[in-house]
Amino acid sequence: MSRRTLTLLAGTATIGLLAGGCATTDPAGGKSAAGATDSSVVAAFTSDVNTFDPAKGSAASDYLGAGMLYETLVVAQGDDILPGLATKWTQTPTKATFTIRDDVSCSNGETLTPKMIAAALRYFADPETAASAAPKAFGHGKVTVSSNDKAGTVTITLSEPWSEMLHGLTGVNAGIPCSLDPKKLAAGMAPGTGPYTLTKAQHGVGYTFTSRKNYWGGPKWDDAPQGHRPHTLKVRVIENESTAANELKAGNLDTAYFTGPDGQRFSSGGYHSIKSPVLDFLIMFNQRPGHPTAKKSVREAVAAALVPDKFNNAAALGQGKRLTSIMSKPGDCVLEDPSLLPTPDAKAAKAALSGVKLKVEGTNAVAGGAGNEYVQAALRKAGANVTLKNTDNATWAADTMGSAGDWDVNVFPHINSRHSLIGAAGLFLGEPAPKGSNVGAVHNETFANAVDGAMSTVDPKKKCEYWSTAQKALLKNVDVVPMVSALVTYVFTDGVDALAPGGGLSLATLKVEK
Amino acid sequence: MSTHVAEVAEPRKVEDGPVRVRSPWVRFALRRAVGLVLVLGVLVVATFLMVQLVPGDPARAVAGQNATPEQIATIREQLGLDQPLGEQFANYVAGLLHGDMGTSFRTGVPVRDIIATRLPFTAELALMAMVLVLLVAVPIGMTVAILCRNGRRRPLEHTFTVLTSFGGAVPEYIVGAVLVLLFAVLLPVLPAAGASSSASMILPVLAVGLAPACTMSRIVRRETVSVLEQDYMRTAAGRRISTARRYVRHALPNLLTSTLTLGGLILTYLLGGTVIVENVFAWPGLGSQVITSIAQRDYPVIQGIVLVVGIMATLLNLAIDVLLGILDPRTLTARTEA
Repeated sequence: MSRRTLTLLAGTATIGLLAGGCATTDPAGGKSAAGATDSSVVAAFTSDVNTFDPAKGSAASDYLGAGMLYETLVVAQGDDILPGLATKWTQTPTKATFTIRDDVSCSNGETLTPKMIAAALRYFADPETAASAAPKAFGHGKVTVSSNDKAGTVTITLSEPWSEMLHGLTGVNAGIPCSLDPKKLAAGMAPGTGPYTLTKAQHGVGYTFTSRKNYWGGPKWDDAPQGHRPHTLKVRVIENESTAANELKAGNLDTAYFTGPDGQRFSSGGYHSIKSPVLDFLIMFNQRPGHPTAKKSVREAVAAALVPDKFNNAAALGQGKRLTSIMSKPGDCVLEDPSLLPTPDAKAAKAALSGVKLKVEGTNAVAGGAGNEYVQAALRKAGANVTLKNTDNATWAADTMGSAGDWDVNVFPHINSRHSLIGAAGLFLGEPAPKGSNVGAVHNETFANAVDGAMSTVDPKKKCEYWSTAQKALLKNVDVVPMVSALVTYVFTDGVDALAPGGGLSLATLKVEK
Repeated sequence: MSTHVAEVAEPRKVEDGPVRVRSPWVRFALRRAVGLVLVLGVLVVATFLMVQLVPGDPARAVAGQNATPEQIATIREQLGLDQPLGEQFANYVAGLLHGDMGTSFRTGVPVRDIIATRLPFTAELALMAMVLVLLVAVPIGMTVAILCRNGRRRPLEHTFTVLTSFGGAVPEYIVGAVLVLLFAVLLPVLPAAGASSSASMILPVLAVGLAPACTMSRIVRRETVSVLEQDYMRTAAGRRISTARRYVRHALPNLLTSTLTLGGLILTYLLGGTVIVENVFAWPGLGSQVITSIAQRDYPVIQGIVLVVGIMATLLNLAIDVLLGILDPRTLTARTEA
């Protein structure tokens, strides 16, 4: 009997060893080549890619992945718009015409035509695609896209004015695939216009991108990194930022990004980094009838109770930047006057909040919800009777945007990946949630009228005047309290560099120096 | 096993009426088959209902923070979430009967493919950790019991107790972090993370295996002490059977019942996914996938993984029971009668 036992145990061990041999096939694994050779670069994503379909992406890793496969008509660098697949354009509030480059080929060898671009834009604008970035690019009216292959142009016509169209087309979501098979798009296998093709993919494990030979060269960025594109760009999915930092330290990665304290481990010695705003913390108020925060005096008192620097320490590890409006720079027309912001005043807060019952809600997806806890503590200190719902992101999103909201004060981490004011303004406009995106049921006519004005002009000066009026109206009425903008740190080993031109990293711009 | 006598009843014919098979193995197999079907049924219903109880909207999670209510409604319809719950359940069960566990709400990848990708990593980690646990715990536990029997070598026994208590109490994420610091950062001799080579497995296996190895070695020591006090061991010693033969042929088999029972529980736990260690070592197993899927409200993936892990746990328990029945038929009789 004991021989049988030993045989069984040996069998178990053998199965284990065989399984070991079978399972260790991480497609993006292996030692980094940067610094040693120029053929391969290894990057880490701290979340998996949900989809490579540019229109449907909704997370940082989706944008990073699709950004390597698909180019856009125009690109944003800081506050400027630069040519992408389009060489030039004309724009009115309801119409834009783009002249398309004639030297662009798709990854399958086909020449990119205006007709293909028009089809891609129609797919992006189609309500059935449900691209969350489409309303930010085209507004809420009807979108018509036409093309003229002979003239080499694509024209977008809107039924309602929307001056943010050009800016909306700079985002990865407006990337141009050369074929629109939904399954291939999601899998990253649809022929694209970007500098890479996806050659190996294993969801949750890693991806391998291979540099294209027939790529047209890409946008002409200011301060573009020196060197050349690596032959392969391997991506490893490493969800734990400390683990990614260890791998970067050990030389097994060439680049990774951090929203937590691990980014600070690379301030010297063979690394360089770019810091960029990743989300803007806004204190929102539920102004529906029956909520104490429907009263301006209560909102003012809440604002007076909060100290942005202390919030920064809690929510952004002290690394965040003070917000002066509803979004952070880069971005056109953002108010930068700190005098418009509420001043912390503990006495005034205590006088108005003593005994007031307040329900605070926030997501624990950012720094474990430490910012939410700070808000609770600050309001309690001011004498309010505070209950906090510090919950996971999906529950918070459903409570905040999917219902009328059983909350008074909401610690809202707004992800404004396109860095456009209209993206943030939408949170205070139109129908209250859940029918619309007006989270706190804000009714501010001066603001709404100024936004309408801004969307009706493409004159930069006039547009900024309207936006200035709009932002001031929100701040004056304490419909929102801007707190801080949390930063993401993109770290690179020396010899590897990339740009974060519109605020977010673009791996399409990544270069390796010999 | 020399000390156990198999007391398995012979099948017996009943004079009147149909033939009744009394073999404990057949009765055991029938009972377990019925049990397996019941467990499967409960798992399917429970996992389906469980995910519905979790607050949050999968369509909103897929659409992203900036989606409009109309877009969320479109996605809800595309995912079939606008259908009545009963219809959703019927579709889910119909799919399962055809071997289709659905597709991920987030990625559109079939759940079957996600599990097929992740399961080998989890199985690999679990089995290797189990092998480590058995290879470490059994010899160490037995050796300490033999060396310290009858109150001898007290310092060794105390040291063993302290070390195994400490090792069993330290959480695996601390063990993992310390191992990474030592062997991947300070002495960069092993990979800090990933699953790209056999060397990648060493640190996760150690992190996962340390606590169970300590716990099991304590149980093996206790069981060995108990076995060494048995009459047959004294008889074996009196018959001048060699020391090695006494321990290996007579003591070891009698430890296996408790060792295998505990080992089965440990392996079941490990196959469920060692979430924290998978996260620390970027090990792409089922545990990290299920946590991500819960955060994203990816119902089909959660249901599929829970179902597969549940089936594995049931089958593993069955295998352990069979193994115990082979090693010690008394356990089989006792279980069947119970």
